[in-house]
Amino acid sequence: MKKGIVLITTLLLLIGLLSGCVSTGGGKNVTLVVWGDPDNQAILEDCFEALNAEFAKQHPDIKIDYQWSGSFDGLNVAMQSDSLPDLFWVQGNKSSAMAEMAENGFLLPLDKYNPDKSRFPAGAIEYATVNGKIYCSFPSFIDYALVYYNKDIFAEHGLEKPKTYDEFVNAAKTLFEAGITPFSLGGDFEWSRYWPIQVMAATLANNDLERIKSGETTGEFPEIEYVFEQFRDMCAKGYFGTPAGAMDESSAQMAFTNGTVAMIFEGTWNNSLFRDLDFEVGRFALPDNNGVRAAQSGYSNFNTYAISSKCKYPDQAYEYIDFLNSKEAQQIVADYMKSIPAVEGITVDDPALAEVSDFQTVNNNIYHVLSNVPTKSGRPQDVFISSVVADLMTNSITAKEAVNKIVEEMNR
Amino acid sequence: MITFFKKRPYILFLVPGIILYTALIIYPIFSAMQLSLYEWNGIGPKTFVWIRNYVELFTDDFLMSQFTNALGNSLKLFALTVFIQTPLQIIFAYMVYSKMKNHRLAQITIFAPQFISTPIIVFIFRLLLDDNVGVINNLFRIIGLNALAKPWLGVPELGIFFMYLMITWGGIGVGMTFLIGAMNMVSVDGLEAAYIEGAGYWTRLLKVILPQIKATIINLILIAYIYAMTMFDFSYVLGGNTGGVGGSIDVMALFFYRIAFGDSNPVGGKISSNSIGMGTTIACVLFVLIFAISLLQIIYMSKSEEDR
Repeated sequence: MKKGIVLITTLLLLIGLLSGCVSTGGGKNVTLVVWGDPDNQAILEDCFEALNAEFAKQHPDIKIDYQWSGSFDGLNVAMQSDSLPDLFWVQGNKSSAMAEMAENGFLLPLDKYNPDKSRFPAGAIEYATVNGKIYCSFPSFIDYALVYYNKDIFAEHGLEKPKTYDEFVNAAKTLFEAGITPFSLGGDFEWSRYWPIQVMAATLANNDLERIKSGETTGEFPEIEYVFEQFRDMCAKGYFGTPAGAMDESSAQMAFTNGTVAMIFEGTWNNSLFRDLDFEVGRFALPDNNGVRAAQSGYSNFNTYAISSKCKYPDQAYEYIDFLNSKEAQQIVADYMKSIPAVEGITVDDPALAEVSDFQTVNNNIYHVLSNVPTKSGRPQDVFISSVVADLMTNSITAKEAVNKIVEEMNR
Repeated sequence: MITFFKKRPYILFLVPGIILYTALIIYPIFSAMQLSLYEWNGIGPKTFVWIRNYVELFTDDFLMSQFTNALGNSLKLFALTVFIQTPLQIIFAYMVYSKMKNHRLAQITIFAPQFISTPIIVFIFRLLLDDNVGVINNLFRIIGLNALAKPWLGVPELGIFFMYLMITWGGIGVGMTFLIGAMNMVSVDGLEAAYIEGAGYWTRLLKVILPQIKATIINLILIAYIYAMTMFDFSYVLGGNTGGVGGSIDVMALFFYRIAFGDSNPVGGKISSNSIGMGTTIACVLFVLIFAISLLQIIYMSKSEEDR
């Protein structure tokens, strides 16, 4: 009899365990696996610990197993091997990846949950939309690349925050002649070596980018050529260190934060890296020669997540998306990341916010423009990011050749 | 049936191995060959394109320049192994074999880095050569040689050599161990006779030992070739999936990985509409490159056996 009871109890426990969930008052205790932004674990980890703690408080029946997938490649491999987690970080319309995932049925459309769009600008909704359906949480912050500079070094050399592009170039020249490396560049990583061009192109080549955006993909692009020439020239002169591009991203950041290099082109997403240093850090959006400072269009993807179409608990997964869309979650992100809010009602307690918000226009992002060129078999954005920028940095091609390479790709 | 197996019992011993080998080696090879005939990014619909991927790989400037660069770097690694690492392995093995003073300590010291994983080896070299925290660069600054303080690991022209230095430091002990084993098989009589005839320490290595361990050396060279063609980790950890600036440390396996799964090749990008199709095409070309050389080695070895 005793043995029978033990056996039945064991069986019941086993069934409970194998079913993977235990009923609690009509609800379910479920675990959702979430993959975070693979490139930004260092800056986002604390923020997501706080977010997930708050979510756990609000949803005691949903356990979040939050993981850092390690690399972008990890997401690609998971998709190709059909092993995506329940929820994962996506970049919306910043690249064509989310659209392709959605079109191939890897993402769950969220429209049936009727997400509240009222607080978000049209661009944020567009970011999350593919073919008229919403696939991810809405972005709620703005990100762009700008110049971070060491105010102490500038003061030592009688320099001030540049008001025009020429002043900016002259500041770099003055520093270089004084034996200071003007810029730090993570040249052996394709994205970090690209930031100077993203910044300069938005400020100096917006007319050309507008032409490409409107479908003009042939002819001369003198403004883009000028930007490429400027970048190539600065690299050749040693403004980015010798040789340009020998550092990886974190070494470049460290060279700036330890005070040996005067400036670095970086994104506002890395604001938190440049706080509490031994010197005063300044920030500026690059001005043109009329003094107009330009940011680049782009929403922050810190808190944009999608649900896998094979998620076993879509309703609970949507709770997480809904939470990320909430003002409360966005305030937590703002508290940790000090990002520029794109929605009303978020307060950011950071003296640097005034500096990063000091821009008069939001211009085009060159990578996004090239990504959206409708070509048959060309890949201008890939050729640009993986080949052209590196070739300019190492002085292997001229600015004219670089432009021609992109034009050729745009017309394939 | 039972009688059949009773007469040929070895078949029963071979079957499990054959099944596993077929499932894990033969099938993936043929599967990759099949996939290389499709345009496919791993998630969308597959389109049969016959040999178009091969034609594209060898005619598209963007792909071909990456292919030749990666192949060139892999062959450089192989050449460096043949001309630097293998001779060093022979010398070290001979010193241990001939029981020079402290040979046990030397053997352990040379072999020990084998236990250190690739990221840690790269980290150790970073601690030495990094521009910010590298000991060597700080030393240069202390002694006033500021111009020599550089992020050495990222200098494109030197990248392949630093990578090779790490590979050699981490892996030289394995080949040395094989060679010590081979040297232990060499007849002592021959060595004693050479000694009595007046052959010196290094002459005995060159004239007596080396001819008798030729097969092991050739095998090591073949392994070095396969390693150079399939090595991935050092390139990836040091230079990301682009293989450093301008592909300075790009190698064949990384080229395959970048096209099939790479980050600069996000699913959805134009190039990635065919990431798996082109990736498997590169894998098949790589397979042919390895298989052809292995076949030559097998033919050469069996000919040598026959000539004996």
